[in-house]
Amino acid sequence: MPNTPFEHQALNNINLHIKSGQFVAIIGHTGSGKSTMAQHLNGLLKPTKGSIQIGDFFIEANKKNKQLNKLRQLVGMVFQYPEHQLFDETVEKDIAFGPLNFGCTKEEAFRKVRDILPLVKLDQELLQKSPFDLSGGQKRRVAIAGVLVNHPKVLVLDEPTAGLDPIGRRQMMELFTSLHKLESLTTVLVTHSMEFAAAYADLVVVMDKGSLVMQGPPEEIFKFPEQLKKIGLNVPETLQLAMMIEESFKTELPKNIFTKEALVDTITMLLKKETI
Amino acid sequence: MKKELIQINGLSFKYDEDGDEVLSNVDLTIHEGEWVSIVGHNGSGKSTLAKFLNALLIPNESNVVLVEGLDTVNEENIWEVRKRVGMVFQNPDNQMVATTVRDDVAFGLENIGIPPKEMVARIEWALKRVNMERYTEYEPHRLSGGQKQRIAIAGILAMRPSIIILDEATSMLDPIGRQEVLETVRMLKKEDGITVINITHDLEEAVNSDIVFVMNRGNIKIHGTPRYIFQQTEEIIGAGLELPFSLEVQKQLKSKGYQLSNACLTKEDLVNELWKLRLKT
Ligand SMILES: Nc1ncnc2c1ncn2[C@@H]1O[C@H](COP(=O)(O)OP(=O)(O)OP(=O)(O)O)[C@@H](O)[C@H]1O
Ligand SMILES: Nc1ncnc2c1ncn2[C@@H]1O[C@H](COP(=O)(O)OP(=O)(O)OP(=O)(O)O)[C@@H](O)[C@H]1O
Ligand SMILES: [Mg+2]
Ligand SMILES: [Mg+2]
Repeated sequence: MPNTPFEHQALNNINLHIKSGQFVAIIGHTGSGKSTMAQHLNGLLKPTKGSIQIGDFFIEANKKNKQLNKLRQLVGMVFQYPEHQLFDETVEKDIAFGPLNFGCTKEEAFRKVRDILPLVKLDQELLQKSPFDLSGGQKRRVAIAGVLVNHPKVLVLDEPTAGLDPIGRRQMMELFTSLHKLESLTTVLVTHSMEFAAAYADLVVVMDKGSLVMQGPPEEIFKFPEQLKKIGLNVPETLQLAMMIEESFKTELPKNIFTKEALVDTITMLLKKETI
Repeated sequence: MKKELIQINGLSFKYDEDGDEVLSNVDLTIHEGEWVSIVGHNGSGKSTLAKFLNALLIPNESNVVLVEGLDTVNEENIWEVRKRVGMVFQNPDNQMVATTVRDDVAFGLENIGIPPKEMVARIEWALKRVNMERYTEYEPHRLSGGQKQRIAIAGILAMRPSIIILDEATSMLDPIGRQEVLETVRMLKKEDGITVINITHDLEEAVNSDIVFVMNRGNIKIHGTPRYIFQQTEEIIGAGLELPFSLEVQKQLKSKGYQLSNACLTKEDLVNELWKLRLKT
């Protein structure tokens, strides 16, 4: 909103190149500009300066966009709060909206809805309920279903697992990664979970006060616990534990321990070495 | 014995006459000064239960929901109950009413009749507590997701309730911000003796509480100390949960033949146990 009393620059001179097929995680403190950046990727927000290219689409400052509908078919976006995405009278109609909008018949659309439910672990029984009469986690699942049902080629996920129960959170991340591979998607995940960023991303992008301050593969980014803490972030739990063991055992461990399995392997190796 | 602060006796509830029971025969007692976590799968009834605790939902019979001895079935108690129980909602948008952050925090204070002069001081204090003092003039709807959560928390802190319910109130905060906000609430608990009910999907938060209640399909299946609860693996998995980080690592170590002697709830526990194992070998 330039030139209004509320003018406030949420993003500043961002340069980022995402390759087709990459899985990118965006991390950063509260208010650092992650959601603002995510909303530029499907044309919901337009840059006040500079340009964005997604596939063959260009979004430029001071220019009208003609093909936003096509862009939105290409780029599926899961909003930070599911309430910002849900709107129809029933869960069924809400999820069917995209397919109908992109040209499916009613039968096709409702069949697609039924096919997507088990993937996001939603009960058939909820289909005729209002999406606003659901629990927080159920709303989240409906919002995600409404995006996945359109088979976008680019997935932009803004805190997609907030509000899900622990098993749901893991299953949903597994769903995203398997779709990412099977359908050769490009995925952008905004997350406060350092664990997910480390375990799933090829490229981690770090935001601080509207600027992009670091980008690189997880093992490069999570090398710097002190810098990360200064900007509200941390290293994944697996690495936190590894660092505690290093200190207590006066030893050195690898810096890329990003899954529990890798952590357990490292610990067993350490214990074996000690017993020889 | 600590004073019983909240009592629920055989509470059942459905949203729709001909629908399923969302809460079925729930019993629960919370004592003064406790830090309580409520965990459970999506749709298990946590938020619904919370709404009974601050009289947003009212039982049909007397003696079912008692808050500091006040029976919420009596209309004349409702006001007093809402004053004593502050609830931060799962979605902060449901709590935002005003056009500036300052007025938003003020709204709750006006409602409970705080005089203007004290109001100013409380608003300043609460916004500082959540690191949002620079945003007093901002429009709440133009804040980031996590900033909105901080404002919603400030709004409740300012009212200084004796019981605080946090319904996934930190789900959108960055790792350090989450620690800071919980630390603030912990400090208030220590200084003012408030009681905290934290509804959360974060198992590490649950580990750091006095008592954990596990909800499963409208029922409280088990409750107890985190140490007890997280060793009931079957109940935990059945309720859509997982083991906290350190216990999960411990379990995987066991399957590789490394048995640690005590259950490790925290990373510190785990490092200590590994150290003991090393001394033994
Ligand atoms: N609709 C809006 N109008 C004006 N300013 C906004 C709007 N939404 C967000 N902002 C501001 O822009 C900045 C970046 O916000 P953004 O929502 O992108 O942060 P974020 O990194 O997603 O944070 P969070 O982790 O809390 O969701 C913040 O300072 C915020 O106050
Ligand atoms: N306003 C409503 N009208 C009708 N049914 C509702 C309403 N709110 C919730 N429900 C239903 O009641 C059940 C319990 O919902 P509740 O919100 O209490 O769950 P929860 O444990 O808080 O879940 P979550 O972890 O997803 O927030 C769910 O099956 C939900 O669909
Ligand atoms: Mg955001
Ligand atoms: Mg809930």
